[in-house]
Amino acid sequence: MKIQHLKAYVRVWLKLTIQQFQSQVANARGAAALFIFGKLFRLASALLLVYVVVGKAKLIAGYSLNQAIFLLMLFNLTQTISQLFLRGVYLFRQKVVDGTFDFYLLNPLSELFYSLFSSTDPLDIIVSIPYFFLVGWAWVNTGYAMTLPVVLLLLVIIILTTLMVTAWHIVIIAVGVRYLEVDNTVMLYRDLERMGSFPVSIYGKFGENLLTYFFPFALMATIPAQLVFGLFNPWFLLLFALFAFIQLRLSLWFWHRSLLSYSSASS
Amino acid sequence: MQKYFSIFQITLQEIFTYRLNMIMWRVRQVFVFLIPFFIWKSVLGTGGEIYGYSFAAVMTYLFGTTILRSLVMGSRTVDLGWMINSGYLTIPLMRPLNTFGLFFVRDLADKLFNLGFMFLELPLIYFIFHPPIFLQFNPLQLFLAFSSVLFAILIYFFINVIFGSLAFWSRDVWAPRFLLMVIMEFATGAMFPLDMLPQVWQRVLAFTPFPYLLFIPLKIYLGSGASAPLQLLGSFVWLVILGSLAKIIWNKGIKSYEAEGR
Amino acid sequence: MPTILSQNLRKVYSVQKKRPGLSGSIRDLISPIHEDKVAVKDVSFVIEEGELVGFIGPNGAGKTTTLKMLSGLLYPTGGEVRVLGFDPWKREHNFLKSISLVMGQKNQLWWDLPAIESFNLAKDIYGIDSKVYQKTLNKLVQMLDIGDVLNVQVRKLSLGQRMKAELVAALIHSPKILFLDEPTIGLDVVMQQSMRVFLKEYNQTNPGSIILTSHYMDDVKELCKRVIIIDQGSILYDGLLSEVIARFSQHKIIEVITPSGTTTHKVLRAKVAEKAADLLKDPQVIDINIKEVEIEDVIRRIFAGEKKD
Repeated sequence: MKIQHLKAYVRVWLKLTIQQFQSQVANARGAAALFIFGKLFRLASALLLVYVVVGKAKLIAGYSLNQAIFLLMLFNLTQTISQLFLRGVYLFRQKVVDGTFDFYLLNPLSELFYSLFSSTDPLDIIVSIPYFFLVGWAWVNTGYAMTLPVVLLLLVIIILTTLMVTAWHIVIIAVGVRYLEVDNTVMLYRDLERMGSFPVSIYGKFGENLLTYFFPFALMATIPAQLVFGLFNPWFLLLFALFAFIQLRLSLWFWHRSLLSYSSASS
Repeated sequence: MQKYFSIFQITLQEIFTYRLNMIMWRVRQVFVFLIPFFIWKSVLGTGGEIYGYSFAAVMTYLFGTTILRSLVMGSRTVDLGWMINSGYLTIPLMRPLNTFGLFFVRDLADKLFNLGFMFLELPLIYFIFHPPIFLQFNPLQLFLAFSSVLFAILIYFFINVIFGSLAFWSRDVWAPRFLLMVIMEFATGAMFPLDMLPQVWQRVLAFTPFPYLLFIPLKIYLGSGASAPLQLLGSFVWLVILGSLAKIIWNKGIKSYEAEGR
Repeated sequence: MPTILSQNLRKVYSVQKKRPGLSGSIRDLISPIHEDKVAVKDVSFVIEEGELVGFIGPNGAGKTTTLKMLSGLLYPTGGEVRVLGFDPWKREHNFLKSISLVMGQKNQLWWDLPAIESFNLAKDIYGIDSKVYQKTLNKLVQMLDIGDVLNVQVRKLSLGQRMKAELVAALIHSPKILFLDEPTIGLDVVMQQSMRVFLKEYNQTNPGSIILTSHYMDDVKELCKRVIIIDQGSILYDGLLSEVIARFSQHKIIEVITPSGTTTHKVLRAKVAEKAADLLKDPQVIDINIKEVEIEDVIRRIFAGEKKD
């Protein structure tokens, strides 16, 4: 991909995102506020669950209440950031049904770019700022030192997670292109993802392995938390980098295969 | 009556048409049970109690809410907002049918579908997770529990009608819907028994209809004894309030229906 | 190298056959039946540079499916196709930069932004040189006469203006092939005409081919010297429009005008002179017209499966 293509992608993405923002401001100010409130409420009720359960029990899978809260905050942040650019998946079915996807296919820029990245919600970017602070606050409460190398490693983890999440979203829309079923698939993915908001060891050996090596959900919270608590060897991240690469390749292959059976909106 | 039965059948057919969609939906319902199960197992699995609940008791509760969800929260009326905004509502409006009746029958079809699949999944869940099952034999409690479930079904129906009707005045119904979903996730008692919360919170929640959807009916079934009739009354009061509100809002909204898009 | 080369192109869909009723849908759940639907049976043709070719056929004939295979949207089940030397299915960057697709009633302009924004974006996407872009833009805007609506939100434009802006967006990168799928569908008569005029002019003043599908005869009559008639997935005729009549109709029409009215007679070609002479014997005859059968009638009959009349 040449440099001018890259410039085109960035310019197009910027235009798309700004336009999204403009239309939100024009049409749905109230909705935006409700959304933010909804997301915060969701975080608050998850926090409440942790307090109710772990607060009384003192420990969950060997983690203290403060550690569990830190894990939850990490999950929240990583999950938000990794999906930041992938909101297009919620509109994908509509685009296939109304024929817009055909235009994506014939546009010189990648149709994956349009399908996934085209509805970046600037609101998500805004709402992640408090999430950063929440992570910081929870970290301080755990009593573990906040050092630069650890922070950098966390950043690496976020990048790896984003790559894997992208791969999974490609799989989701590949299923959508084939069967026109996207919404439940995405929600199922989100249900699985939510499991990552708690230490994955509570799900038993099978669950833990599934969420760590097959899905990137352990990477969202459990692993970075373990990194902070000194329980995780950072060299393993190389292994996850390999996974990320493999998952991306596989997902792209699956995407191209699924397009073979694409039947296009009727005229 | 026949026409409602036909609608019931057609709705089922609609659901069956999308196999993958159907299967995914049911798999998701299983997940709803899984996450709290593992959380509680890790915390209580080795014994002990939290707020008076042992692991067995929490499992019974979870199992109960999973079943009740299919019954109470299976609904197609969630589509109402979309139907209004796309002009699609015109079609049922023009039919010689009571529109509320139409929506309710569609909901019943959805519930039947969910229940049907539940009966296939329950044995599976039971064999894998062995949740202790509590069978209520007291006929009075049973009757009260049954009534409260009925009320819960109607309450949820009216909530959906109210939220769907927002579409008469606003193009975007997803934001309030999202907020409702997030609140209900927690306030209906689906995540954990609401009496684990501090008293203050419980009293706040009692001012909302949400606990009456899952938590209260289940509590009555599990044998809340003396407080059952009072709780049932609470259910009924909410039913009347929401029903009237739904009717009023609907009638207002219908007058401003623009039927655009068609 | 021909611009488009298609050999035995074929597209088959597997469609689920639904059984009626509730029990039917339950059976569909457990053991669904699938049926093969042949949208394009066996289609072969060659199109050279600069041609303006019309694919005509009734609804469901397979013309849109063929077009979509030519543009790379659909993967052919069988046969071979090469467009500008590329395999369209691969949708390589250079291929996509050389083609354009316009679909009637479907918009690729951004709804909430002024049309000019979509054009500017296309400049970035297609990597068009600034000077070339400005020149092409000016030319197209002038040809289509939409200079005063460039800065208006697309959603506020009338259907006609939107279609024109759509054409600018499609042609701004000077594609070598313009694919049009039912471009005049849903437009009023005036708009249909101005679109045809534009397309004809564009084809005459620009290199590059235009391929269009339509089920409106007027599109074809106005624009295409060459037509490919498709029905039920196969080509019934590929050649000059002017020869369709000669090939498929053995009759001509003689119109006789008298003070009491006009009568028409359908006469075999060979017998025209004879019949005309015969009719002229009537002293009441004021005028006589000898015409070809309307092309619409010919084509309608071709679609109805009658080979010759």
